[in-house]
Amino acid sequence: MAAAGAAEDLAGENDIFVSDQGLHVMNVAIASGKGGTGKTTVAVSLALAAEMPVWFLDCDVEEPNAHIFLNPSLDTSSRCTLSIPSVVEEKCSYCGKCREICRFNAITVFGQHIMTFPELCHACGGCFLVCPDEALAESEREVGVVERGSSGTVVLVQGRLRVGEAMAPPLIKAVKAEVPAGARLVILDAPPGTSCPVIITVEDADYTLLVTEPTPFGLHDLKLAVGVLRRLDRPFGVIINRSDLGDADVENWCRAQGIRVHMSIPFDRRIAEGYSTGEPLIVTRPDLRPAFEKVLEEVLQS
Amino acid sequence: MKIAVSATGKGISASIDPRFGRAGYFVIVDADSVQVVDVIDNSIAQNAAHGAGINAATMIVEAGVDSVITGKVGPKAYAVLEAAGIKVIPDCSGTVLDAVEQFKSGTARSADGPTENAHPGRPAGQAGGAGGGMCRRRDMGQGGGGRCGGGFGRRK
Repeated sequence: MAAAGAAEDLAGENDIFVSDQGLHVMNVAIASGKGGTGKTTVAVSLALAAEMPVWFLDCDVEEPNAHIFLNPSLDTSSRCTLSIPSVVEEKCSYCGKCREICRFNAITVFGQHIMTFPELCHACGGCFLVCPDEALAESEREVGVVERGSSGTVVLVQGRLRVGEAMAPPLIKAVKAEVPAGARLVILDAPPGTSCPVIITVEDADYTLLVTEPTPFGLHDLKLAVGVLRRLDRPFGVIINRSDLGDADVENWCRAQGIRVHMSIPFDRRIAEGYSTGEPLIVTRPDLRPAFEKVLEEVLQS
Repeated sequence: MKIAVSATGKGISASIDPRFGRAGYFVIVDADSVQVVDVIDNSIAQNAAHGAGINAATMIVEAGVDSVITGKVGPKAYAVLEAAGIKVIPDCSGTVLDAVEQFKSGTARSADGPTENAHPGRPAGQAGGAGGGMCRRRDMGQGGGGRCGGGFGRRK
């Protein structure tokens, strides 16, 4: 992919972002079940607390917002497209093989008719393979753009899903593909929930921090997110945000389950006020920097 | 002349299933004799993550019917039926028999377009797996669907 090549060029010019010592790359994902718990707040503060250069991937491609806090100059942009079929009707024998293989009903054949429904296509390429008549030509559907820029020691890569597009995973994969070989620390800011876009983001993370809040809803959705990570068999821990509000159920549940709680962030109106002006938590509350550094240390040693 | 009726069961006295794409069955009735001549089990389309209407419509076309009697029909299913020249009679309720009689009496009106807007997938709670089929949602209890079955999406 052209975009990945560009990333390597950038890495070549900015050697501080990569290691030449063959150090192991550390992918740390920040996820949650429930939305609005503070994933981006935590991810940005971790990136700013790191003592090494960071590749920050905003994988919440439906509404990327880390750029508001990191404020990079987004100077690189590339389109992310999928290869989807378009029918060359004069070659089609209406055999129906494409219809049989499509699990998403994105193409159908009946009588002397063939119809495609591009928005349902997952671009698996199966129809191209089974068509005996070469009646399918490749056309493309844009799923969004991948943008990149740097700010201090952080390189931000973000995806922006095209409005109306429903398939986020291909774009998230394109965002992840921007990271060059040799990057040392990659922070992935995941979308909320437990569906495909989250799986794509966390599936190969070396560690996932689940940000939650001490409310019944926070606990309920944390359990779902924990279920995902256990199913994926990936290591994870928890950060409790606004920890002095609500109840102790999240903490008690984590203890009973043997899940490590790395950090508890207190509720503080100043944090919310800073957030509303695009100020990272770690800037509003510099006294919390050591706690974020400690989390990174724990994660990197895990 | 053969008519397909979306139904919750297999017989002439079954209730009309108001959903076209995710109907349980299509009861194929011969309009002249008012006899059931075939039944299409729609469970494959019913359980599809998306594109149910396209799948169901294709089966209907292949069954060689002239008209479809149903409740609501979406734009993709309608496009397939229209391309095949099949008349769609929406907004019907009651039993298969009622609908066919109504059709024969000439009081049923055919549609000149889909009755519904496109919706992207199976609604929550029908996905089989825990959490429903919504990919992403902002609030509890919102309608709509997702591209990815299973799991739940954004909520704040």
